[in-house]
Amino acid sequence: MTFVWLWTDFLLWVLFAISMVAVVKIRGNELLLQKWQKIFAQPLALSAFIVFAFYILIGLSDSIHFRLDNNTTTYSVLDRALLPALEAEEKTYSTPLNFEQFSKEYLDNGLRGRVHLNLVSADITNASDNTKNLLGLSTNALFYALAIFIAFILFLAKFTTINTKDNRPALATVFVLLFFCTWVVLLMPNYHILGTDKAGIDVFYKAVKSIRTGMVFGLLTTLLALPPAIILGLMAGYFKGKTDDVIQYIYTTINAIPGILLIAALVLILQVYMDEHASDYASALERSDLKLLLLCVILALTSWTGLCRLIRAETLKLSELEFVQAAKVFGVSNIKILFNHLMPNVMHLVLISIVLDFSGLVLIEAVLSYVGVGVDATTMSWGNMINAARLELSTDPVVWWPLASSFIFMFVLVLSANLFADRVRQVFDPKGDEDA
Amino acid sequence: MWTYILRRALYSIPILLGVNLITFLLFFMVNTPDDMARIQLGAKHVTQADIHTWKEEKGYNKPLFVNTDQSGSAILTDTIFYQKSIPLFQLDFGHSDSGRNINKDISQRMWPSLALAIPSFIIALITNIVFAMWMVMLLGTKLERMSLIFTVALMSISGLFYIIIGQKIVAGLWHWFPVSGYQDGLESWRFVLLPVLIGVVAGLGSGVRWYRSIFLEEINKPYVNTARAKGLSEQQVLFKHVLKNAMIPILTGVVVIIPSLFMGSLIMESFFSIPGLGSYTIDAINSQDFAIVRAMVFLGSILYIIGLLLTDISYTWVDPRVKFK
Repeated sequence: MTFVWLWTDFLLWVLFAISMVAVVKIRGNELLLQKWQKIFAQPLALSAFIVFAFYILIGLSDSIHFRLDNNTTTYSVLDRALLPALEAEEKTYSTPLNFEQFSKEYLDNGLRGRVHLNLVSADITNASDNTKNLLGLSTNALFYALAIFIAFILFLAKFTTINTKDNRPALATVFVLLFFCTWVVLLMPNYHILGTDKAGIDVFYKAVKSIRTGMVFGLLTTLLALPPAIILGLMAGYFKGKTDDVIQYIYTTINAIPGILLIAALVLILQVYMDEHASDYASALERSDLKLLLLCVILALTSWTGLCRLIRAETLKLSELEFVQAAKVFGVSNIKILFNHLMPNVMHLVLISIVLDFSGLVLIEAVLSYVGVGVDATTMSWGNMINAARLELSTDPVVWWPLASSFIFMFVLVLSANLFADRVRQVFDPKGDEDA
Repeated sequence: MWTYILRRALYSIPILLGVNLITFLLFFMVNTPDDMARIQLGAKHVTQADIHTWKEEKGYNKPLFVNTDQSGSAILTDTIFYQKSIPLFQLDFGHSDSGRNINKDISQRMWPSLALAIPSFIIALITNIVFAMWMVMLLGTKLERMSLIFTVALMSISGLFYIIIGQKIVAGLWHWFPVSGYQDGLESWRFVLLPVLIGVVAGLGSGVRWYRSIFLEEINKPYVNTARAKGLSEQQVLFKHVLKNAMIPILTGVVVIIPSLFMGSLIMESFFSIPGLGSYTIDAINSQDFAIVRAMVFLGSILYIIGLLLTDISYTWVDPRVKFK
């Protein structure tokens, strides 16, 4: 077994490491710790965070790629976990949890009928058997989930100081997620949970794989946009004068270009370039991964200006304050003032913009795919799923499950991110409406 | 004030120059005229001579920035950069790579775009303000908290879903509205109604939250307490005092996008087959017509800069306290 490191894998894990360091730092800082405790004191925010963390976990498990020795296909850990769904080779559409195909065709015996799905056990031949089987599996899943949940609560009561009575909404969220996991684990080897698409690929697999794409979009773009935003913003606010003029000029100019057009133009050029150098990439996976990364770079190029403007304004105010003046008088170098004195004081802006931008970026991925300047067609993403589903809606009878699946997966991620972001902004923004 | 506005207008010239330079770098340096010729002529059986004639026809057969074959000022003027940039500043967008007159296309296609964008803008503005006001009136109640979460849910749904579902259910199932298309003149309202409605609903979540935060900032100011102490009803306080004062941040936030309405909406127009500037741009992106994309980028930038200028002017208009240096 050899590990395969894609660029986005590497950067996601770097990001993970950075956030772990940040957690350790926050635990050591009394003031910050209090603020974070205040964030999680709101049940809604805590529940949202748990859901969000669940998504992150799935995304990270999809970011460890390896190749088995006897095989040329590259798998991720998530692929191996979803292997039954991945390897069941169906021919075409089937509805969620069904045992046979969606449309009728001529069978081997010459009659018209629906083909039995490969993944579903051959014993199930009619709808009532299917329902019975599903109910049985679901009840089992519920029992397993309950058992694990009770163990979890006992663990919390015994080994931690977390009060299980005050955190009911959060615990309910944990239970729902647990049940979801056990249900998926039990059903997946036997069913296509969200049906199959036109080419017979499992829709649940596609929707889950899209989580990573959405995460890469939302997180890496911000990560890439932070350095220019912070450095230029601090410099403009601190040095003022000519430096400020130049930096303001740069971001006003970039802002003046309509965002989606600038992105479209950049992506068009990227496509032309990548088509010409198609032979440079070792595999289709690496090629599509590089395109995903470059898309993030392009989005970052167009999105750093907002945060930069905020940081500049804040730094302008801060640099007039006594502690900065004192540092100057003591002969502290400019670089030290910028990074040791000013930067920690604008970090709340950075944090707010990270959490607020995340959901917008996940949503924009779908729009870009629609416009035709999104991720590679081979990359699984909600945008590509929605794009394909548009045509399916006009068929009769309607093929609704691919669209519904991408909708639900996307909605839950963006909603939890938004709810969490709202709370972070309330607590960290000095102007935030803290009463809520 | 006039000198201030004049100075701001002059300040926008270097920005436009910058925009032009960026788009030029994008479209001509990274993607050379040879590449463009190959795309336009099709990939197969293109000889160097074909490329040469195409470049000559379109005026791409010159050096990019510096022409060493010429003397005097022609060193700089007889280049692609100069020849292609100066007409842009005169708002002459020339011909698209497929030979169409871009100016004529724009003047034709701006009307459907405006027919869609202006009603969307006005109706969204009113609905958002009304809902935000309503939420401020309910401040602190359970209903307010529920509706706040509801707005978050609304803004967590991808705009594409509103369009797809709206088009499918309302137009396809119930035959209330035409599914797509456009017709000039008074009949156009039938085609525009559904996209306008969907646009308003899609923007409701984030819009209401934005206005709400503006109202909340106003509501803690001393004059509101004074008004309440005078014995005014809550409605009077909100609609006569808070709304009036909130007009300053609302106006300055809104004015900047008014000129950009002209550009139309990329997604909406292409979904509903409305022949506006938005779908024009999308078609150009899909057929890789760089001349049109470049013209639209430049046009969009000009409109944004006009928006900034209007914002500055509106400041003085709504708030006489604002003085300019």
